[in-house]
Amino acid sequence: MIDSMLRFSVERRWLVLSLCFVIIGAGLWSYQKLPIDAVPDITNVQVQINTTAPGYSPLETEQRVTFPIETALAGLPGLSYTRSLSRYALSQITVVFEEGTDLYFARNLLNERLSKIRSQIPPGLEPEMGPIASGLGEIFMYTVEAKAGSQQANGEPWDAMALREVQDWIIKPQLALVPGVTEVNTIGGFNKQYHVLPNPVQMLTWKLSFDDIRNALANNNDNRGAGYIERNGQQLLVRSPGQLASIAEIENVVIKTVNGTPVRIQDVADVAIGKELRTGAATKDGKETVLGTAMMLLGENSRSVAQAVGDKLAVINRSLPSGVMANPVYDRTTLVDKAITTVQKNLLEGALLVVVVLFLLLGNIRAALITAAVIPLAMLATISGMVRTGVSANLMSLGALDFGLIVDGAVIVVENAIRRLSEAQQAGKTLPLKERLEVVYNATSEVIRPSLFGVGIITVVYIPIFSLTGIEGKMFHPMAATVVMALLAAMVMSVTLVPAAIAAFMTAPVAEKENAVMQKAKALYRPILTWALRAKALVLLAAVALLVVSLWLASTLGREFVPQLDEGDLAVQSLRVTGTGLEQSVAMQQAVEKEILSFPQVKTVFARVGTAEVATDPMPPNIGDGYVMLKPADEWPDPWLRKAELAEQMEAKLQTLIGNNYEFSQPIQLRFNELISGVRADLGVKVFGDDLSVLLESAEAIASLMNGIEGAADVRVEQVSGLPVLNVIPYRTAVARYGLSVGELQDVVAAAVGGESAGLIFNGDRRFELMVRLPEPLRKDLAYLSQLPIALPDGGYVPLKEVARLEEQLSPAQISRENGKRRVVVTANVRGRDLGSFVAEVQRRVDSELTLPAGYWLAYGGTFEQLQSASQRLGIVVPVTLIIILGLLVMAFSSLKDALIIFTGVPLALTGGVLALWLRDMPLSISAGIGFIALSGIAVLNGLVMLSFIRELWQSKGDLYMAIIDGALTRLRPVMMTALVASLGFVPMALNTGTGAEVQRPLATVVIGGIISSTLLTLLVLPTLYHWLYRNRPDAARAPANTILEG
Amino acid sequence: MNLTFNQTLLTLILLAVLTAPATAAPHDHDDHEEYPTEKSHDDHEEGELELENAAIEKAEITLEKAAPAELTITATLFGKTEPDPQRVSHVKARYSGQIMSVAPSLGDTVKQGQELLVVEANDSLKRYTIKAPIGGTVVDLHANKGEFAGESALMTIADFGKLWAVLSVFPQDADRVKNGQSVTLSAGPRSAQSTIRFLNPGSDSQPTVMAHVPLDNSDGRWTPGLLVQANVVTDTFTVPLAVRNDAIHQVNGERVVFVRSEHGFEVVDVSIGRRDAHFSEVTAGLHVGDRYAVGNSYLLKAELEKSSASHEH
Repeated sequence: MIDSMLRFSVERRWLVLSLCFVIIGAGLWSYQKLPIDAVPDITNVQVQINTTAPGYSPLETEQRVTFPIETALAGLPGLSYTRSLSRYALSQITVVFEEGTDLYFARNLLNERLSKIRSQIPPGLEPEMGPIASGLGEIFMYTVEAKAGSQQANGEPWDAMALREVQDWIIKPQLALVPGVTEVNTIGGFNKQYHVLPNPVQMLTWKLSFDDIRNALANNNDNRGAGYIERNGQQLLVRSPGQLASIAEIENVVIKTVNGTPVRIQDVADVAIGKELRTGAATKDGKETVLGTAMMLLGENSRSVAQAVGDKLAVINRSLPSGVMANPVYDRTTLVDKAITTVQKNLLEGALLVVVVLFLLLGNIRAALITAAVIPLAMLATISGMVRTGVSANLMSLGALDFGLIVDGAVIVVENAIRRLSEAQQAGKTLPLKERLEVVYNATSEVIRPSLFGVGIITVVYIPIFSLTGIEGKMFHPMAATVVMALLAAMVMSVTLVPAAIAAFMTAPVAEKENAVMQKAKALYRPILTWALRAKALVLLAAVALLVVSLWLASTLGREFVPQLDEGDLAVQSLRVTGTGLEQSVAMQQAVEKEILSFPQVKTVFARVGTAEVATDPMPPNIGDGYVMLKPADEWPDPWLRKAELAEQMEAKLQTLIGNNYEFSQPIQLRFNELISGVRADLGVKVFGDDLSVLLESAEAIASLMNGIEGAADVRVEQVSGLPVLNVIPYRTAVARYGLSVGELQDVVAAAVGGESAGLIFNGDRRFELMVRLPEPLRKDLAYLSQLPIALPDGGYVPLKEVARLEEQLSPAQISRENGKRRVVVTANVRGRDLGSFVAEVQRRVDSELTLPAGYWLAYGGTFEQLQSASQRLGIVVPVTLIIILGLLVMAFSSLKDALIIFTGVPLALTGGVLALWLRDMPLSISAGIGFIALSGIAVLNGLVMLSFIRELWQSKGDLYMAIIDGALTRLRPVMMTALVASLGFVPMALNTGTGAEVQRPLATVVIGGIISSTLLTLLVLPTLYHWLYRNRPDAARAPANTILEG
Repeated sequence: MNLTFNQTLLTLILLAVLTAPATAAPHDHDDHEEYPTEKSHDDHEEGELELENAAIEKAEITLEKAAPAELTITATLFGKTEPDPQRVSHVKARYSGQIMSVAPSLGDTVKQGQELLVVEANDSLKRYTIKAPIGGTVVDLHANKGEFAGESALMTIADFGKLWAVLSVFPQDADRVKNGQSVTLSAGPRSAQSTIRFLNPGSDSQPTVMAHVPLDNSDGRWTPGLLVQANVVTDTFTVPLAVRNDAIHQVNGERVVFVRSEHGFEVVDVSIGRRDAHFSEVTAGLHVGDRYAVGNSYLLKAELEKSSASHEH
């Protein structure tokens, strides 16, 4: 089949070449649709269900909202697990689906379930699904600010409430319409509300209850349509406007008439514009602000959406009230642009280097260009493939592309064709067309099998990467997929386009002379090779010694998971003790920001404290997510200061602010952490059950048990309690004695402290809540609260403390549930001990020493789970892959011995990779690991090229020694070429310092180092080894015949 | 994660090396990025919060000296103003007859002994004058010239220069509200000082005791029937040692006060006795003269407990 393809390509060369245009066209078209981002999306398939339950404490939220919803979710198709948390006024259930589930399908399922259980949760509460976005969704943030000294229309200075109004009613509606934006989330400022603040004494005077006031407001605030009448043929609509529109109108609402005197709102209450009881706030540069976040729809192109949002914001800015502006503070475009620039630069420079090398070694510009043309074509084909398979372009997916590696197959084909063409021409001057085509066909088919084979092996080694799951899988699948696609594209091209192009364009006489570089190389190589063949033992021992040394070196290298992409900015999460109030937390956050801002490297710093309007990240008020936007490094006093050092300096300075704990990360990283969450420690023991105190007790028992086990570190029990709560506990008999009911009492307390909604005040499109609640000074005064007069049905009153006990208590701050049951987690890390045995010991000791009450059970989780499953999977997949490669080699050579000889190239390649890492002081990481994988493929390819030729020569000439020398010398050029292009293609990547380069650098470093060692060793050790192993059989007749490779 | 990774990486290398022994995996990963390590104050014992002077200054923590203080315990009561029953007079005709003239109009102020009405008695046809029994304001008038004066009251004269505030004392406060305690009465913008004159049980359907407080209304700012709030000082005493309420925090279920020490603050467990709106009596744990944190002292509690601050989903 390959032969007929080759023949077709050579004979119908123009037709085949015109395929280029198809590839180019498809590639360019796909490029428009390619999702581009900085990093791969590692979010799982999840949907958040948020229910805002104003005034509900964690326990009530769990009981009334979380539980019914969570229970209803059981049995959904594709459901992986659910976890939930219940906080003050918020229930959040995260529903995680199995990988590969369509998010829209999942949301549909959820929607159906939610509509069924609407009636089971308290009326007025609406469960809502979070935005259709992933961890990469927060692409654009802006603050709404007022210029110093500017004033509102009514002459007052702009305050947080007025700015929030601008955000909610001018900016947000417009931004939400930008294509690709799924949600505009607001935090900060205050929702404007109209507050009716009754004076309890006045209420007593007129014998009014909170209900009376609320009802009066509700009944006097409606527009009513009354149909139409026809008069003289004309239709006349009838309506009765009765909506309240201003404070004066609210004040004049009559509550009731006492002895003919109307009692109006203003007689018993103050009416004012007031602040909501907010759950979140935002700060910028030490001041309160209003922060908007545009969330990108899942699967959109973050760069173009962020750009569109930025453009729209500029337009909106023109229509804002004078003195108010919306300032972008975080724009993903910047990061993506930087990352893409890095990738582009790497790829472009790599490609250029490859072209130069090809030209130098081939000595023929046309041949070099034909080979180099494979690069853009393979790239375009890859882009088409990426779009088809839904892989996004980012640092990871494009990070492993090495064009040197990709053109390897083409290089081998072109090199051989040129050699054969020049040989043929030396015999008979310019070749006639037919003969030339024949030569090209022969030359191609001669090497196409080893070349396809080699490339095939390089592709096969990427298979284990596909068996990675979880975060590693999400990070590295795209990378492997892209490389495999590029390799396949190049492979197809090397049997179609490349021969066609050679046939079409290599018309001129090929002056294939051994150019100076090759001659020098050969002159150098021959004596070394002959020496090596003499000093076999020394060479082989040296190789083994090198291997041992590098293995030892590898064990001394540092380790990290994935080199973290430098996002160019910092995120500082400030954590404060549970129960810290929002205003206190904001004050502390402002102090933090002032400290951060004192660093000359910082451009701006802003933060979210507590939970935003849409609870995408349900933070309690005691936590603030700070974003530190840095100036470009060249504006720093010391441009060479590393970001990690800057973070350290910052942390040291921030430690002088008391009461805060800090966690440093980066914006996207922070978001991923929040979304993926789960147990982030090595081992998590989850205790499931009903009673929180029992759970906590058991958890603490487990924690102390774990602390006693060798290797345990950072043992922690999940923080569940610590939220101060004021309980108003009714005395039931007293309540009954005064003719009240517990419900009525609770209503009064809720209305007085939390406030009660009495409808909406409309102001054009804008609508504001009308609330009835106690005046602020009274609300805050606990002593007063205990005296709060409660109206009795007979017109009298009773102070609250007569009918209820007021009690301050610490209660659960948050209730976590997993798969429908309450849980408390004990986490631990393991140091200085093997994790597997640690987990086993914990399990054994917990089983034997701890008895849980009935109805309570344990589950073990944490990264050890991933470790187990990953090592199990890799334990199967890696040997299988090795066997496949070996099998392929055996098929190729029909000799296990030869296959194993080629395989020795792999550890030899490894030595260089390890050395390179060690020299550059880089840790071992998965990125480096991927480099080793690519390397092993290249090493095999090198050996294959070398060995197949030696065998061929041995067969035809019969002298092993001469075959080795000649073969090695003839194959010096392709081996050097493939090695040089592959390693030079990675050089820009290894040296680049731009944004995102840190992810690619280890990979490139490993490949370059490995290729150098592997090439040197292939050239010396392989022939030596071959000669040594076959020394007893210098008989050509007994050399096994090539099977696959000869066709 | 690091461990997974170690293993993964190893296996990947295994792929490359074929024979690589699994020696290279001591689990000595450094993971200070992912797991925040316990911070500073864990290396000295509870009860001491070591802080730099600069940090304390930056936090703007204000200090006060623990000292004796006068505590004032109050109770908040509600009630109504009522006219003094002794200062309300319903004027009637002694002999029924025809009203010949009426001197004051409704709302006029009359003096004691001032002529109010002239009535011609039916029996004797003699005219007699009715004089004001008390000084006050004519608040009700049912008499016009020529009308018949019979059994019913002709006019009501009330003296609002003195009112009573009648306060409802609910059972929980009944023990401590006593005669003679000083009271601050307030209703809207008005306020006045007085003392409780006497207490008597209220109506039999209510478990309340009514506290009667005389209210001087010579300037006429108060009206009867006004709902008033009363702050009754039920007890005043001096305690040998007190701290501001804002200085007391709950730490691990104990009440503590932060006392400035040489290297920061000492966390002092205190026993709290009586307290009023501003001060709390300290019965144990503190000494007179100790400088304790008041303003922004919450930051100290936050610092003390911050190692527990975490963000888990």
